[in-house]
Amino acid sequence: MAELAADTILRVEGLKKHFPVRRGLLQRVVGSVKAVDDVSFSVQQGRTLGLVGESGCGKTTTGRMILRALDPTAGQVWFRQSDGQVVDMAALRGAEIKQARRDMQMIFQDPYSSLNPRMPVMDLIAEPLRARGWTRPDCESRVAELMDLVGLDARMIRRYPHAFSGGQRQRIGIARALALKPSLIVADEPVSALDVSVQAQILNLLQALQQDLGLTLVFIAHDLSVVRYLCDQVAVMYQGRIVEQGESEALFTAPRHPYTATLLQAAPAPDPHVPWMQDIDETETEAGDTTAPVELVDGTTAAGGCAFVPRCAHATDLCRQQGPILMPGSTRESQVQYGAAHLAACHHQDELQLRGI
Amino acid sequence: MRDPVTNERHGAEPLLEVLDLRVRIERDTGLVHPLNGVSFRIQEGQSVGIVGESGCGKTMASNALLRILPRRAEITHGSMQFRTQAGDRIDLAQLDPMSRRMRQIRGGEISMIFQEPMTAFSPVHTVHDQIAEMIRLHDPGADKEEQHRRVVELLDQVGIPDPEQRAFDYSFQLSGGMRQRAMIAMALASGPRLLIADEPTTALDVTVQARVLKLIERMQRELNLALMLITHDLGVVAHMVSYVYVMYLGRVVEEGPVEAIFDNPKHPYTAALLRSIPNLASKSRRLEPIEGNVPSADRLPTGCPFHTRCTEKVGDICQQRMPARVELSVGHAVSCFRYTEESLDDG
Amino acid sequence: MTQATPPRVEPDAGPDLAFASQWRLMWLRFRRHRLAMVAGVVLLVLYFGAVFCEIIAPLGAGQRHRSYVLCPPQEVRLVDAAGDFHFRPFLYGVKQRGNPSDWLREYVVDTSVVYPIHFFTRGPEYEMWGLFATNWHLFGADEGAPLFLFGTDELGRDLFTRILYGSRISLTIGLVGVALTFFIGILLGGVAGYFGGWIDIIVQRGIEIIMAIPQLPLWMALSAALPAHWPPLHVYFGITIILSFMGWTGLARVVRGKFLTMRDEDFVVAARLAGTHELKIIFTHLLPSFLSHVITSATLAVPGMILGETALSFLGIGLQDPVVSWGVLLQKAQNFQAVVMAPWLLLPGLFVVFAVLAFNIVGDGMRDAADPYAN
Repeated sequence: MAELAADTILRVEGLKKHFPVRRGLLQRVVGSVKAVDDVSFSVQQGRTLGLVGESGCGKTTTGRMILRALDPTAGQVWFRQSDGQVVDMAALRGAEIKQARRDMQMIFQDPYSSLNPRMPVMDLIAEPLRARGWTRPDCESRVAELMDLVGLDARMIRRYPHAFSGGQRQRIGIARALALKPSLIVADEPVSALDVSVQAQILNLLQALQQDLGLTLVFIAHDLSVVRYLCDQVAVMYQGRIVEQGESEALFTAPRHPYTATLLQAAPAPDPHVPWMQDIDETETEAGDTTAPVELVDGTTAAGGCAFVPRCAHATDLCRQQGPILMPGSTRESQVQYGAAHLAACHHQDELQLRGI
Repeated sequence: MRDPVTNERHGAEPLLEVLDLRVRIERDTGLVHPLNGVSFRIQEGQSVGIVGESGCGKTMASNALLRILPRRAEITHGSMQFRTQAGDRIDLAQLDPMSRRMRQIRGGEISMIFQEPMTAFSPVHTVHDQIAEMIRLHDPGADKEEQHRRVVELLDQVGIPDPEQRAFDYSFQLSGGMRQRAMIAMALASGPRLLIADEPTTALDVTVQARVLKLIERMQRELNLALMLITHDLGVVAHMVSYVYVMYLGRVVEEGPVEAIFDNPKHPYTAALLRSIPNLASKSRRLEPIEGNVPSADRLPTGCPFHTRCTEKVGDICQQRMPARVELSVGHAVSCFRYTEESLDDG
Repeated sequence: MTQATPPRVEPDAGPDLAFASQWRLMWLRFRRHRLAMVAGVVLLVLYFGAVFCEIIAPLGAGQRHRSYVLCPPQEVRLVDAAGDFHFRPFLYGVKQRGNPSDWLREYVVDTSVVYPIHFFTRGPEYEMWGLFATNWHLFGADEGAPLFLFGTDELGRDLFTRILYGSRISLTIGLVGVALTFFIGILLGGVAGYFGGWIDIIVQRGIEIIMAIPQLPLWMALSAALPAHWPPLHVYFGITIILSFMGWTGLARVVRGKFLTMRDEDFVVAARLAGTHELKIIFTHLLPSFLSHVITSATLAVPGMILGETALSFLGIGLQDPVVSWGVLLQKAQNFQAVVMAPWLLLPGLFVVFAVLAFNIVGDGMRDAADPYAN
C-alpha cells in the first residue's frame, strides 16, 4: 500500500520501461531494450532532484513515466496529491490520471516543438485550465497573472509563438506548466536548447518560482554545472539504471562511482586555470555506448556483470561476473563521511579514491 | 604549456588574416547582415577560438572563408588573405567560389569538421572510399596501395581501433564518437594547414566530447595545424585554444589571449557572459543573467550591437555609433566606449 | 580609426505579424509566389465561367445552326473593312461556298452584312441553375449572326458556348471527386494512423493493392459496369465516384504519415498532460497541423481527376453526347481528318491544359506556403 514518509512527495520504486525490438517480415519481438531498468528514488517536498546522464541513459523516459506520459513496464510511482491522497501514478487510469496531473506538470526541452505554433499564447497557457472547464474570462485573468509571474508582458497575450524568442517561449512553457498550481514539476532539460546568455534567466526563474511557490522539482539534465547550480540531490543514470545517488554536494565533491567521476572530469570548466581531463585517456575509445544494449528474448546477451565495465579503469573479475546493486558504503568510515543517503552501484566504492571537483 | 601568442605583434606573417569582412544575405523579407566588419587572424600552428551565441555570425565567418555561403549571400566588403603552402598570399574574398583554385584550397589547405558528422559522409560509400578520395585529390600520384596504407594510418592516428576493418564500414555503422573521429581523419587526409572545427562536439555526450577534443588538440600539436575552433561553449574554449575572439551580432567585440579573456574580461558582454554561466567548480555563486534576448539579425540595433542589453552603457553614444577597437594590452583588444577617448570627450 | 556606419535597420516586419494566425502567414507566403497568384486568377476566371456559363454563353449548348456546320472561329471587330473605328463591336456575315479546287465547303467573310454585338441582351431561353427560366445573356447578336468565337462543330453548335458549359462538368468533377477523396482519405488514413496496429496494416495493404491495379483498365471496367440506361447526372456521379475510389490512396498515406509523426510531437504530449480530451487534441492540434498539407495534396489531385474525366469521355466510356464536358467535346477531335479540316475542335484540349497547369502551379505555391513555421 501507499507508504510515503510525511515529507516525501514522490517515491519511485522499481520503475522499468522495456521497449520491444521487432525484426523481420512479421515484426516478431526478438528482444527488448531496457531503457529504464529498476529505478528507485524519492523526492522530498520542496526540494530539487537532478536526474543526470548522457543521451540514451533513460533519464527522459523516467521523467515521462513519472507523469504517466509513458506507461511503465513495471514499478510504482507513489505521488502525494495536494488533497493529501497518495496515489500510484503507474496504476491509475483515465480520469484519475487527469486528476493527479493537476498537481504534477512538465516543462519540455525544446521550446519550439512543445508549443503549437498555430495557437496564440492565451490558448497555449490556458489549455490545462480549459480542459478543466474554466470559463474564458477566468482563463484570461489567470493567464495574465501567470505571464506576469514568469516575466512575460501580459500585453502579449494574443501573440503567436513565432513572435517570441527561445527564452520567451520557454517562459510560456513554464507558465503553462504552472497554470493549475502544481506541487511537482518535471523539467526535461529546460535550458539546453537555449542561448548561453539566456540559460541563466530561465535557471534563476525556476529557482525563484520553486522558492516562492514551494515547488518540488525533478530536473533532468546532462549538464552537470547546471545541475550543481540548481539541485539539492542528484541521481546519476547509466544505461537505464541509477549508478550513484546522493546529496548534490557530497556527490560532486566526493563521487563514489567511477562513472560519476568520469562525467565530472570530462566537463570543461569555463576557466583555463582549472585542470581538465587529467584522468581521461583520449585514445580510450567509445567502447561502451551509453545506450542500453538490446537484450534478446532468449537471454543470450544478458551479461551478468556491471554495465560500466567496458569503460571502467578499475574493473575487476568481480565486476565482470556480478552486477553491483545500489547501496551505501559498507565501511564505517564511508558511512560517517558520506552519510547513509549516499548510494553507489559499485563493488569497489569503499576502496576507490575518486576525484571530485 | 602553449605559448600565449599575442596575435598582433607576431614576427611571421599570419597564415590567415581577415580584415573588415562584411556579408549580406538577401531574404524575401529584406536584407540581413550576419557579418558587419569582422577582423581576425590566425598564425601558423596557432589555435584560435571564435566564441559567440546563435546569430553572432561565427559559422557565417567560416563559411565565408571557404566560400560556401548560402545562395543569396554575398561578401560585400573586406579581404581574407591566406598564405598558401607555396608561400604566395591570396585573397579568398576575390576568388570565384567555384574556381579550381578555391576548390584546391577548400579541400586541401583548409579543412573543416562539422557539428553533425553524419552530413559530412555519404551514406552510400565506405569511410575508406571517402578518405581515399581526399587523398587522391590531394596527391594524384598515390596508387591504390599507397592510398589504402594512408587511410589505415589516418584512422589509426585518430584512435579508431582495428582500422583495417573499420575502414570498410559505412558512416552510419559507427557510433557518434567514432564517426567524429572518422571525420577528423577525412579532414586531415588532404594535409591541411588550417583546420576549422565548427561546434565539433556539440552533438556529443560530455565524455565523448572530452576525448574528441583531446584528439583534435593532439592532432593540432603533432601536425602543427592552425586551428579555428568555433563554439558557443566557454568551457571548451577555455581549454582548447590560446587566443579567443568573442563575437556578438556579426562583430568581434573582444579579443585576447585566453587567460586575459577569462581572468580579465573587458567588454561588458564578455564579462556578463562569464557571470551568467554556472561553473561546476563553484556552487555558491548566484548566476547573473544577461537580460533580454539576442536581437535577430534582420533587425540590428544601431551603434554598439550590445547596447540593448548592456548594463554599463557610457551614454547615448552607445546607441549612436559603433565603438572603435582599442588595444588595452599586448594582444588584448576591445570595442567598447568605456575604453575609447571619444566617449571621454563626450561624457 | 573610424568605423563605417552600421547597416541601416530594416523596416520592421510590422507588429501585426506577431498576431498573424497560421492561415494568414500562409497567405502572406503564397502571395509571394507570383506564378501561383497568376494561376490562381486563371482558375478563378475558369470557375467563374463555369458557374455563370448560361449567362456568359451567347447561344444555347445544344442549339444547332444548320447553315453553319464546321464554321471556323469568327472575329469580333472594332475596325471595319474601310478602316473606320466603331465603338460597338460587330461581326461580319459569313457566306458559304464550295471551293472549286477540292469541292470542300468553305466559309468566306461577307463584309456587306454587319451584325452589331449587343451587351446584356436577350437570346435563347435557358433555365438558370435549374431554378428559373430567363433569356438574358452577357452579350449576343441578332438571330442568324455567325457569333462563333471558337467556331462550330459538325452539327453547327457553337464551340465557345459548349466549352463554357463543358467546364461546368469538367471542373466540378475534379472538386467533387477530390472532396470525396478527401473524405475517404482522411477517414481511412486517420483511422490507420491513429489506432495503428492491425487496422493500420489492413488499410496499408488495401492501399497498396489499389495502387498496384493499372488505372485505365480498372476505370474502363468500372464505367462499363455503369448501367446504360442511367440518366446523364447519375453517370456523372458514377464517374466521380470511380475516380475518387482510385484517388484516395495517396491522400490516405499522407494523412496516416502525419498522424503517426504528430502523435508523439512534444506539443501533443503537452496537450495530453494538460488534460485535453483525445478528440479535442485531434481537432485542435493534429488536424490543423497538417490540414494545410492535406489541402495542398488535394489541390494537386484535382488535375488528375480532370484528366481522368477527359480520358474516360474521350475514350467514349465516360460521359456521352447530350451531356457536355471537355472530354466529350474532345471526342469530336478524335479522327485525323476532323483535326485537319477543323483544328478549332482541339480548343477544349487547350482548356484542359490550362486548368490542369493552373491547378498544378497553385498546388505548388500552396506546398511552399503550407508550412509557415519552417525555419
